[in-house]
Amino acid sequence: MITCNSLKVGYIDPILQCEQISFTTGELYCLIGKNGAGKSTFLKTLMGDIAPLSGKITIANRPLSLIEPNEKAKLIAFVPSKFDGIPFLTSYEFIAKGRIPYTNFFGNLSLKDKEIINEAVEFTKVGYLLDKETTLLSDGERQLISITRALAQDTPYILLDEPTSFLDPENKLKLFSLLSKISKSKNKLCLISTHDIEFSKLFCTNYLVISQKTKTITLEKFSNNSSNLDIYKKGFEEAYLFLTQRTDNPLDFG
Amino acid sequence: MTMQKYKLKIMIAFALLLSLIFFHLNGAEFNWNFNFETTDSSILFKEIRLPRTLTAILAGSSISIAGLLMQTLFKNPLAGPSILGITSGSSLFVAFYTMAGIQLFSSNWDIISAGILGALLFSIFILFFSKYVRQQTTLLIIGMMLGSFTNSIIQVIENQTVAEKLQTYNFWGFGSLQHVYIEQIPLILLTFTLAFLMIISHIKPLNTIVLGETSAQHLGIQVNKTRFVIIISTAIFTGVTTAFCGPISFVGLAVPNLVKIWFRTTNQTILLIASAFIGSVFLLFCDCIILCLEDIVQIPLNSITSLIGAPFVVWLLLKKRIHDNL
Repeated sequence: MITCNSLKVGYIDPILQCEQISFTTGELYCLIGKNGAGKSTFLKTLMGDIAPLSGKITIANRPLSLIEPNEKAKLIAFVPSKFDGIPFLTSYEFIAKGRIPYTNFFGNLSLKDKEIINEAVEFTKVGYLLDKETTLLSDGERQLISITRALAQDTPYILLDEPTSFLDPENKLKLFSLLSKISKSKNKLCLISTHDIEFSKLFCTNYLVISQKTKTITLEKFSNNSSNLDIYKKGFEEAYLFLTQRTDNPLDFG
Repeated sequence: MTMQKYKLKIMIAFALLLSLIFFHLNGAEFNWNFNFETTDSSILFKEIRLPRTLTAILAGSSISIAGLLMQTLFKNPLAGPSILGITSGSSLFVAFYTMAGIQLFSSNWDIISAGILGALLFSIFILFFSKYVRQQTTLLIIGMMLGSFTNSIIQVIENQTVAEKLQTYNFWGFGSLQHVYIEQIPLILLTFTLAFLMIISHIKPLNTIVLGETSAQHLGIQVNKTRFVIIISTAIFTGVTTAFCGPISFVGLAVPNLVKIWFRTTNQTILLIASAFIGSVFLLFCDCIILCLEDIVQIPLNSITSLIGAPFVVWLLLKKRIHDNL
């Protein structure tokens, strides 16, 4: 379980805050909010890349700031919004890097490491990509192997920063469905920041919404049949007003 | 399976290295002229040929490994100690040392420390700038600026200095492998081994940093420490070589890329060993050309490495544009 307590995040001035939120394993969470609302900053804070300005984060009952880097890598995995590929690095080698926190001094893979990698590869069905160089893959394929690497890292928590931004509708659907499957069948916590609300709704009911007015993150439940407008109302107030009162123009588009 | 393929290639590189060592030791002549019966030829071998061959091997390996490390750290195939201005740092300090007073090669440690200090200082500059530039090309341009900035300072010093010292410095600037005495070889070997062990003991962080610093950090690697180790060892590799052989350009840029294209891997252990071998091969080859043409024309080492290296880098850039795979 990840718990945030009276958290203020930002670089110098707080851009975002939350009272008390807990995330549990086995669930899929979507983090939504405007561009620049602080989604990435929030995820970076949860990863421990930047320290919170105030408040406390605990991961598996341990304060985040006290966890050693290598230990932390065994708890949380991160998937960035885009992986551009690395020349001459094959998909298998890339996925195998997920085992780094567990390997010995020279970074050699043990039999157990290889088993876990194979298991992750089977789960995401990327076996056909293993020998290909990562620079030669499509954006969708690269995102799949990024997630496979996070699975190989064998952590209870996976954070993903807008993993669907560069994908086509089909791959967006595929990715959300895969992540929902991962969280349920592998009992992991997946936290995804995203703008693809209509796709996420099909698989996710837990939303972390960043309110524009109060700059606060709150945990909301939306049922699978709630409309986009219900979600816009919480996180994208201006868009909601624009879409509901089309006669005048509340968005100052000029 | 794939490991086997790398082993074969490493062996080919090693065989190539061995044959070039023999050819070079033989004075780049095909006629077998090893002859230890007379004291003259024995001295020729021990005092002139052997140190020159050993220097070529050590310098070639050092500069190539330094280039590989820079390329890995900055995630930029066009990085290298000379293009990033690290060699210039060494040059500047050696210039201070040679022309602003003290005699060149008066003490082995002095020149080594001048070389390393300059390289280290300029590596830290580059590291500092790398935090603030978004595009890797910018970093290369900053490196070139550092280079021309230093050149200007050196020119100012040159203007103030006496002809004799100026000549010593200029000869050094041409780059050469024949100014190292056999007594200095253990010292170079020692520093080389030291830097190499430093890197080998950080092979796991090095292999992880291939993914970028943020990803490495998320995999539990202490990035700051790794960066520090890479910079220190690059400074030692570059500084020592530059102090003894002059600023050797293009080797650090060209050799690791050649090795990457040949081996098609990011495995740093393999790339390190292969870069050391191919770097030695390249410098021995360049020096063999110098030896072969000795009777006709005297070519400075730096000219030969640039004559071969510069077209290679242009080819590399064109290839990069076509395949976008570097």
